[in-house]
Amino acid sequence: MLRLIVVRLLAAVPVLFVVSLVSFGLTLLVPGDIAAEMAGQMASREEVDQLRAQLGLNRPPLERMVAWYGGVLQGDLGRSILLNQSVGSAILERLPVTLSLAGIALLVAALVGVPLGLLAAAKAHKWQDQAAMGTALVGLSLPDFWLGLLLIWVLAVKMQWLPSGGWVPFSDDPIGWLRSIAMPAGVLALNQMGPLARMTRSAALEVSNSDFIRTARAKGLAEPRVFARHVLAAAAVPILTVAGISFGIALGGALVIEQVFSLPGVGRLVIGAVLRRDWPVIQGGLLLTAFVFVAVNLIVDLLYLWVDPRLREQR
Amino acid sequence: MKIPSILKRRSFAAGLVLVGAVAVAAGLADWLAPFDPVKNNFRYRLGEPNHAHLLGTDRFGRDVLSRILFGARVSLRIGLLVVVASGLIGGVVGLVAGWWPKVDSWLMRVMDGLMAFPGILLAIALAVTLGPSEMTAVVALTVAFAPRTARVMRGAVLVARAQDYVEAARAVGARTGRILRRHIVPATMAPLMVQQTYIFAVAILAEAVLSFVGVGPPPPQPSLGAIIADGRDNMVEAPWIALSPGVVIAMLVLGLNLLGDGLRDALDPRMRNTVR
Amino acid sequence: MIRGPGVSRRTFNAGLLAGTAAATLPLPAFAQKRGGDVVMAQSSPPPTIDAQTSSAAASRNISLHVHETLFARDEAANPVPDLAEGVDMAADGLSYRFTLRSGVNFHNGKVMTSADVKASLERYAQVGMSKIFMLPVAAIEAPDSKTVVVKMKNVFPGFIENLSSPRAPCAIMPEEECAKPAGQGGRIGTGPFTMGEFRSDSHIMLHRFDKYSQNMNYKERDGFAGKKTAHFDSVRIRFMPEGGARTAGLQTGELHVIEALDAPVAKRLESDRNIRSYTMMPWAYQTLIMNTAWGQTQNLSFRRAIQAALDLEEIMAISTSGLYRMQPSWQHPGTAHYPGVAGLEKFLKQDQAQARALLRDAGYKGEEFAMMADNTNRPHIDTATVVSEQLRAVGVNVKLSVTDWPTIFTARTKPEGWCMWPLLMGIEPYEGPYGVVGFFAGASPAMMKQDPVIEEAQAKLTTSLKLEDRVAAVKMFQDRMYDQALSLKVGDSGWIQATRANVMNFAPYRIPRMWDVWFA
Repeated sequence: MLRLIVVRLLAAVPVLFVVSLVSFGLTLLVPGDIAAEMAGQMASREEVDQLRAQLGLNRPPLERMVAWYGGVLQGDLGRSILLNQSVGSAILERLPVTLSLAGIALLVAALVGVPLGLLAAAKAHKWQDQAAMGTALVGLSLPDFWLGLLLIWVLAVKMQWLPSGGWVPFSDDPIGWLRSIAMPAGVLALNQMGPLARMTRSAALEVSNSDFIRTARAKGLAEPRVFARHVLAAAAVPILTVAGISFGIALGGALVIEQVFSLPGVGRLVIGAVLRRDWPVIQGGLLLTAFVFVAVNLIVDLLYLWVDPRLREQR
Repeated sequence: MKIPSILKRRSFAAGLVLVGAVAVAAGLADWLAPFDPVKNNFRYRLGEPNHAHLLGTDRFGRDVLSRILFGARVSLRIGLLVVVASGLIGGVVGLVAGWWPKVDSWLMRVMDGLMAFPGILLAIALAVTLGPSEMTAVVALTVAFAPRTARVMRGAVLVARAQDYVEAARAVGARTGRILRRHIVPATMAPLMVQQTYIFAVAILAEAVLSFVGVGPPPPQPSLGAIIADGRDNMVEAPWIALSPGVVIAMLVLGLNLLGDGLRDALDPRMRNTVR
Repeated sequence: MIRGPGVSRRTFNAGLLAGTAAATLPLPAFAQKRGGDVVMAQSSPPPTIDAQTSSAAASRNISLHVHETLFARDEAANPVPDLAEGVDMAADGLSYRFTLRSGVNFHNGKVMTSADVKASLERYAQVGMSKIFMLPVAAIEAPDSKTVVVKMKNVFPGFIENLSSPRAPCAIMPEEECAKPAGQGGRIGTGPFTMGEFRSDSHIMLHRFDKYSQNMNYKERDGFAGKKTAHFDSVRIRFMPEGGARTAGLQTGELHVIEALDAPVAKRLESDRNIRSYTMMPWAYQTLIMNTAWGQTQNLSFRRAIQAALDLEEIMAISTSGLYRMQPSWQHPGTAHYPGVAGLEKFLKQDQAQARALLRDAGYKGEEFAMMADNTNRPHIDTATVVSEQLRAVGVNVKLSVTDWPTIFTARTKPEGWCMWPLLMGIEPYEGPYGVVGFFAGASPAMMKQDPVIEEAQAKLTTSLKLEDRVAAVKMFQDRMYDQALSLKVGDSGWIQATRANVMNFAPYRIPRMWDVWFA
C-alpha cells in the first residue's frame, strides 16, 4: 500500500513539471502585465512603467524562472503581487471553499445518481430506465453557468429563499454555510449526476449478466437483495472511476460556478489572476490544482483496493 | 456499421433530430432570421417578445432570435473545428504513442500534464494569451481536449495491435505504414468517432464558458455563450435574452450526447452486448 | 489663503450635483444611531489597498474610508482643507505653507506630525500613481511639527487641485509606513474606519476607528472632507462580479448598499419600497481615443469622417441604458474651468453622406480599421459595438478586438497596431481640467502624437495663475480636439448608487460614503 503511494507520487513529478512548464510558458506569452491592472484605467504609460519597475516585473524571464523553481523545491510558491500574500497561503485559504463545493456536489450527485443508475439497470429497457437515463442526460447537458443564473433569478430574486451569492464559512454559521453552498453545489451536482448514473447503469448491467449474479438469483435470493449486495459491490470499481473523474470535472465546473455565485474559491482566485496577470498565483494555482487531481486519482486507486480485495492480492 | 440500422436506435434518432434541427436552422440563418443580428435599434431596447421579435430584443435593441440563429452557427462552427483539430492531433499522438512504446511514456506524460488541470482553465489561459477570436477559441479548446482523444486513440491502437492478424502481418514483414493504414487506423475509427461526438458536446459547452467569462470571440458576432453573458445583467428585466440561448445549447449538447450514445451502442460490440 | 468653510468656500459648482439635493436634506440630529454592520457590494476587488499607488475606483471605494489627505474635494468637487487647517501660497506661486490640524490620530495610535506628512508626500513623489504633479516640487520641509512647506521649481497653479484629488489619493500615513514599497503600504491612515480582514476575492472589513479625530472646522460631511462621523461598527465591502447577484442581494437585504445600479434595474426597483436609488448626472463622459500616429486615423479627413459618421446619441443611449445627456464640452458645466460649447454644433450632427465623401478624400479603400475595447467595462464594449456598426454603415471595414484590460493597456501604449478605443472618463473631469488636458499632452499623449496646439494649451493651463487664462486654455484645448478630431467626446453618462431604505442620510458621491450614515 505504502509502496503504491510512493510510486504514484513519484510518477506525478514529471506531470507536475509539464504543468509548471505550460503555465510558465503562458505567463511569458500573455500580453500585458499586472502593473496595468494596478494602475487603473487612465494611467499613463510612464505611470505604469514606473510601477512595473517598482514591482520587479522587468526581471528577465529566465531569472524569474530559476528563482521560481528554486522556491518551489523549498516548498515556496512565491508571493502574489496583487494580494501581497504568499501564494501558498492564498490558495490554502480558498481551497476549503472549492473542495467543499466540489465534494458536496459529488456527494449529492452520488446519492442521487447511483440509485438512479441502479433503478435504470433493474428496470432496463422499461420506461423507468428511459426516464432515469433521460434525466441524467438532460442534467449533464445543461450549461452550468446558465443554470446558475437561472437559479439566482428564481430562488434568490423571485422566491428569496437563498442568498444570491457569497460564502459563509461553516465555522461561522453552519446553516448560513449550507444556504450559501446549496445553489452552487446543486448546479454542479446536477451536472455530475449524469455520468455517475450512466456509469452505474452500464456497470450494473454488465455485472448482472455475469455468472455469479445468476448463481445468486438461482439460489433464490430476492432481486432487491441481489442488487443491493452483489451488483453494487461488483460495480463499485467503475463507479469509483467515474466518481474520480467527476470530482476533477466538478473542480473545473467549480471554477465557473464560483464566478457566478461570488464564491471565494481557488477558481476565482486563478481566473482573476489570469485576467489580471498575477503570474505567481497563476503558476501556483495551476500546480496545486494539478496536484489535487493527482491526489484524487491516487485516493480513487486506494479506494479500489478497499472495495475490491482481489486487486490487493495482485499487487 | 449500417446507417439504416443505426437510425432505428431511438437515442441516435432523437439526437439526430435535436442536432439536425439546430444545425439546419443555423445553416439557414440568412433566410430564417427575421432581422440583422448585429443591427442596433436603440428605440426598442430590452423589448419584450412580440410578433415581430419572437424572443424579444437585447439591450442594443437587437433581435434575440436572429442572434441565436447566427450564434448557433458560430458555436457549431467552433465545435466542429475543435472536433476535427483535436481528432487529427489527438489521433496522431495516440497512434504514435500506442504503436511505438518508446515514445509512449513521454507523450502520455505530456498529455497527462495537459489533462492534470481543468481543461476550461487551460482554455481560458490560452484564450487570454492568444487574444479573443474564433480561431483562438478553436486552438484553446483543441489544446484542452486533444489529450482526451489521444488517450482514447492510444487505447484503441493497443487493442488493435494485439489482434492476431496484426501480429501476423508484422511477422511476415509488412511495412509499418501499411499495417497502420490497413489494419490499425480502420479499427480505431469507431471509438474515435464516439469520442469526438462527445468532444463536440463538451466543446460547445466550453465555448459558451469562454464567451461567458469574456474571452470568447469578440462582439458583435454572437456565439450562444456570448448572448447569455450579454443578458446576465438583465436577467430579471429581460429574462428572454439569457434564457433562450441556454435552451439551444442544452438542445445541442443533449442531442450530441444522444448521438454519441447511439454511435457507441452501434459501433462497440462489447457495449451492445451489455445494453441489449 | 484657502481656509475651511465659511472663509473662502467657493460655491460655483453648486449645480454639479443638483440632482441629488433631495438626498442631502439634513436630518434631525436625534435620528442618528450608532452601531450596526453595514454590507456594501462592488463589482471587483481592489487591485491594491495601497491608496497612493492606484487610480482604480475599486481601490478608491475602500481607501477613502481609511485614508485622508491634506486637502480633499468638497461636495461640489472644490479643493478644501482636510488634514490641513489651511494653506498659504506665496505671492510668486513658488511655495505652499500647510498648517496641520493638531491631535489627529493614526490608526496605530500615533499622533500625526509634519514628519509623517513630509514622508507621505515624499513617498507619493516616488510611488504615487499621479506623481507627475509632484515633478514641479523642489523640496518638502517641516520647519516645526505643525507646518509643512512645499517649495516649487516653477509655478504650478494646479498643485492643490492635484493634491486634493481622490483619483490616486495622496494619503497621509505614518512615517514608518512610508518606507514600504509600492503596493505594500496603505493599511494605516487617519480616516474614520480602520482596515480589517481583506480577502481579495471575497470581501474587506472596515471597522469604526473610535479614536478618530473629527475635523471640527466643519459642521457636517462635505465631499471627501468635512466633519465625518462613523456610526456603523463595521463596513463589510463584498466583491461580487455578477450584477444579477448584487441586485438580488440588495432586494433580499443581504446587502445594504451597492456601488452601482444599472439604469433598467433601477427602473424596475422603483416600486420596491425597501430600496432607494440615487442618481448622479454627470458622473463621467464617454470618449473615443484615436491614434493620430498610425493607421487610417493619421489622416485628418478620415478622423473627420468618423466624426461625421457617428450618431452620438445612439451610442450614449445604448451604452448607458438610457442614463445620459448630450453635452459636448470636455468640462462639466458649472465647474470652474468650463469653457462653454460655442462653435461646437457643427461637429455634433451625424451626416453619413459627408462621412462617405470624407472617406473618399482620405483615399480609404476598405482596409481593416483596428478598433479595440476592454471587456472589464460594459460601457466600453457597448460603445465599441455601436460605434463599429455605425462605421460599417458608411463603409469602414471595422475590425473590433475585445480583450481584457492588461492586453488593451499594453496595446494602447504602443504607437502602432490600433486606431481607436473607447474610454469612459469619470474621475478626471470631476477633478477639473488638469487630468483631462494632461491626458492628451506631454511626452506620451493618449493620441500617440503630440499636437502643438494641445501642448500650448497644456502649458498655459499649468502655468497661468489667473483663472480666466486657464479657462481660455481649456477652450483652446477643446476647440482643437473638435476641429482636428484628435479624439471624440460622445456624451455624459450618469451613475446610480442604491441603498436599502433603512440606510439613513445617505448621499451619493464618487464613492458610496459610509460615514454620516446610519441604520434607521
